[in-house]
Amino acid sequence: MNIQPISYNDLTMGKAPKKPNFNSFVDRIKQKIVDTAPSTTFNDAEKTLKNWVRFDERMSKPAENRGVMGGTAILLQPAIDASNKKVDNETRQISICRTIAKIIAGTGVGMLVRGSAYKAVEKMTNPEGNKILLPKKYIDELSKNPKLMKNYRSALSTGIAILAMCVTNFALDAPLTVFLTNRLIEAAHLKKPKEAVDEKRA
Amino acid sequence: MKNVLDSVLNWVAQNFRKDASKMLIWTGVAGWTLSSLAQVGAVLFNNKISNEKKSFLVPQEMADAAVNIGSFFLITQAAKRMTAKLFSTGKFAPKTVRVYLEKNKDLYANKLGKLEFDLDEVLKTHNDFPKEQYYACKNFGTTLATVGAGIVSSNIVTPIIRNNMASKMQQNYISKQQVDRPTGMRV
Repeated sequence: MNIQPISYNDLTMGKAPKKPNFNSFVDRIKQKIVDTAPSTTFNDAEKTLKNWVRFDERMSKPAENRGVMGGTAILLQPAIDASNKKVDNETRQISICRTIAKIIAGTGVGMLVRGSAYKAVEKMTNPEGNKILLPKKYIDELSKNPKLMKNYRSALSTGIAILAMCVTNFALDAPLTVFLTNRLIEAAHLKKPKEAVDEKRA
Repeated sequence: MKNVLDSVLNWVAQNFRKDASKMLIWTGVAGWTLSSLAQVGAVLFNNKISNEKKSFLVPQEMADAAVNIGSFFLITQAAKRMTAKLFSTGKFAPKTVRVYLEKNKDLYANKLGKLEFDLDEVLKTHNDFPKEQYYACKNFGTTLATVGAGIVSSNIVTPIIRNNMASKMQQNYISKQQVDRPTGMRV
């Protein structure tokens, strides 16, 4: 395994890390949190290491990341909208329908655009083949370091996906959201006459 | 044109080859902004939604964007940095690193858990430090924290806050409509 030292502390990119200043409220809070956290040791068997690396690689990819966000959104957001008692019942129902529609449309289109952009960038950043999208200044460094290459591809493909989304948000996302919202609203209203009939029978 | 492309590619590599999460955060902001503009338009031009409902849904969408972006920055950045700090101070460590730290107790025992202690600096000067295990564990932990924080901010914090904000906006709109109606009409 080629696990490269990407320092998450090094947000200043190469500069020496700042010494903490305990007159600073933020540093005092950080120290408090570090003190409160229990000292934890993780089992690092070979299989576990491989799983960690695999998880990190998957979650760093734009399409997979978007999929996870969408999957958790559909489980959580409609429930939160349903518990909003500050609006009337019909507004609440429409809000739920729109939230579900927005999540489905946004996640579907988002994953498609991001995934396609990543695949295209992968093909055009091959050091031994098509290197049209490789930066001349960093070709050697990226070729020797798979993690840096993956980061570069993620960053570039996400940027390209954003440009594509200037079009797809309006051409695909929005109309698909409207379509799904209206279908869900119709489905919700279709229940009402049946419920009324069932209530009469009861 | 080729020079412009080269400059852009070099800029992306320079800024994001070591930190893809930075790009994910910034492009996430741009993506949500674009998405929200499209969604606001989708509500405004949807004939099946009444003006009264739109008065809630449009502010809801705008509040969603503003709160989502703001809370995402705060919550994910805080989670990412704090998790990285827990690893770099030795509070969280994989087994191999813990064994190394205990073997060199005289050097590290009273530094562990202190904010100024940074294992990322230690491993630069100590070739016997188990780098592979340290970075695998730290990268995993930091990514997990960032994704988890993103889920909490986007799917729990934002919907709760934007619903409250949008409800107030709708109530204000409805009150204003009642005040603006001509005198003599029952409301």
